[in-house]
Amino acid sequence: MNLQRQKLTAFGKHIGAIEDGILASDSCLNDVKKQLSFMATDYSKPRRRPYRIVLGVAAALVTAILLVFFLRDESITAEYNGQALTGGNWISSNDAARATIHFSDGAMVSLEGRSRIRINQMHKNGAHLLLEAGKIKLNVPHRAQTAWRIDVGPYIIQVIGTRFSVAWDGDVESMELRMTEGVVSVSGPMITGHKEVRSGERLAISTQTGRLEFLTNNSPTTSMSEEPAILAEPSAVEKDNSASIEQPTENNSDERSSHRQMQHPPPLKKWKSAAEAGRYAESVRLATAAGISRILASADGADLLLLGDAARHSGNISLAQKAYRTTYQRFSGSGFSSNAAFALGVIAFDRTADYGTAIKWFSEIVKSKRNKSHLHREACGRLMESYNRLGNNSLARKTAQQYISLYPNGPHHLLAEQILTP
Amino acid sequence: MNKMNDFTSQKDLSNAKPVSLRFSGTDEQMAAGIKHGHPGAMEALFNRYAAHVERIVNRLLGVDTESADVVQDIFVAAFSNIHGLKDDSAIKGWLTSLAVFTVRQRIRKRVRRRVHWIYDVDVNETEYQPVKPSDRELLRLTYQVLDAMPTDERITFSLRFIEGMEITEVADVCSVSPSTVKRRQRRAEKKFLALSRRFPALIEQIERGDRWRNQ
Repeated sequence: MNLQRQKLTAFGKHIGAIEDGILASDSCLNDVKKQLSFMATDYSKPRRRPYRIVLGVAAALVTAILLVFFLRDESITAEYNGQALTGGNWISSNDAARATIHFSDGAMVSLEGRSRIRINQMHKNGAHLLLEAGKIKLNVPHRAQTAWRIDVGPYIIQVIGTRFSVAWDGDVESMELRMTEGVVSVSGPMITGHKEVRSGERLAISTQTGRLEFLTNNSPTTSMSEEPAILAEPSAVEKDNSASIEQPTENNSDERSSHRQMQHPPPLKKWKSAAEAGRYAESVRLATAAGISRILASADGADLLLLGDAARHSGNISLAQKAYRTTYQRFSGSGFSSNAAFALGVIAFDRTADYGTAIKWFSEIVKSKRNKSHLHREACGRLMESYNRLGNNSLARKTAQQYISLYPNGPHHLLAEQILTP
Repeated sequence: MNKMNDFTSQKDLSNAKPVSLRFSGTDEQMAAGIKHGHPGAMEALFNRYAAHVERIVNRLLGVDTESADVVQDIFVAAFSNIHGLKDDSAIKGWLTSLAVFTVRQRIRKRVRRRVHWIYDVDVNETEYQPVKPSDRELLRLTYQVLDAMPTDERITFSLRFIEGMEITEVADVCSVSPSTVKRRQRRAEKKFLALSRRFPALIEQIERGDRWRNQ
């Protein structure tokens, strides 16, 4: 085996080992098993009258596989106001105009007030939506294979056939889910495993205040601020659930103890220790319990960046952006501010391919004239790459020339040379 | 009382519904069970090979929030089309082929829709035991490079180098000849290394070769 192949083999093994480590603790199989019905009779089609296949065995198998994947390529479709929608489309509504999206499987999604959703993907058994802000009502017909998913902030709602409404307020990081019919499964911060919410039930969570409410009947006058935190006794429905609702504190022994702890949140330092140890999800939970607003108002630049990193690594992008923006504003002109700007640029670049926003943040660092710093070099490279991806050739060339003059051997020098090559 | 008397009657067994039975048997027996609608056999297929399928999906796509959908699709296809399996003893290889084809379709759809899959965010959206930030970055860069490669070369690279399959195994699951696999592998190696040079952190890790073993 040549040397290059040896190195790739060793490298590949290492990548595989990292992935195996992730899968060992975060496999999707339990979720998949719940979705599959092993008792369904529509899978099995016993052949009552076997017939002879004239073609050779190999040709028949290949043909069958090709047919399976040709036919299975179909996914549901969606339309809004007579226009076909595709994966990646954003749809928004305002106070004057309600928006309703119709799907080919019979599902309907209505946006209320000022709301905004994104269709991440459509497949043959349903769709994957992201509720960015506001409130939507869904009506999803139940079929054996129905598999819809709604991302609401850091929460995931798995839908198999139901009617419900869900609202998300990113500013206070609160979600409210009201079930009209059917059942959904919710996972996310402050919930251990999955929480099933059934017809007539309501689930309201605020990761910012650490408050969670689960009610077994819908009251139109109920609001989070009026209701007590947690029911003292689990309902019959909750007892049937395999998952449990996690109290937003470290001590889960009893409801009164939990309530006391919510009034006296854990010390601020605990979230820091968890973040420094790499326990990012735990760090975000502890920070939430301690009070995000308190931390944002009182922490120094290093701690705010640490909070932003913990949030980003645990998938809580909105909290990460909030922490980084606060750092940028409160410590303007400092190294903390530059690091925060870079992180915001990376989120825009990597997370949403929003190269325009990425350019804004990377430019802040480039124009700060902190030349020859590691951050400046990276920001120059990313800025050039952002212009290139946007198709702005003149600015891409200009930044490429600047990059080559400042950092001829930098990590982006190949891209710069490529851009400058006529 | 001899409890065995309750179960030794042939008549009792023939009337018993098999629904509650857990399936145990060889792959060949399991495949035959699925073909005849034995629900325990379907669950046994999942229990036996779901982890393998999940691993293959993640090798090809990266650790991704889409993985659950893909794994589910593969098993739905397997249950629905089990009668297309001619050699019941080869069910594992057949399932692996389904997995590769399903992911291949998924990758091609991504390219057509120009969806930019952000590996970093997908990994971070799951709550898992902490992975070192450097390892996370390494995974992100690896799959960013793979995303830029042609689909067949990307699949060959992942199956050969990350999953460690032999050339003949890759040929079987991709339904191509071993010489085609070798050709794709040569192109994949060249392309992966060329694209990796854009990321010094990545090329540096590749150059370290088997010094990984001591990490």
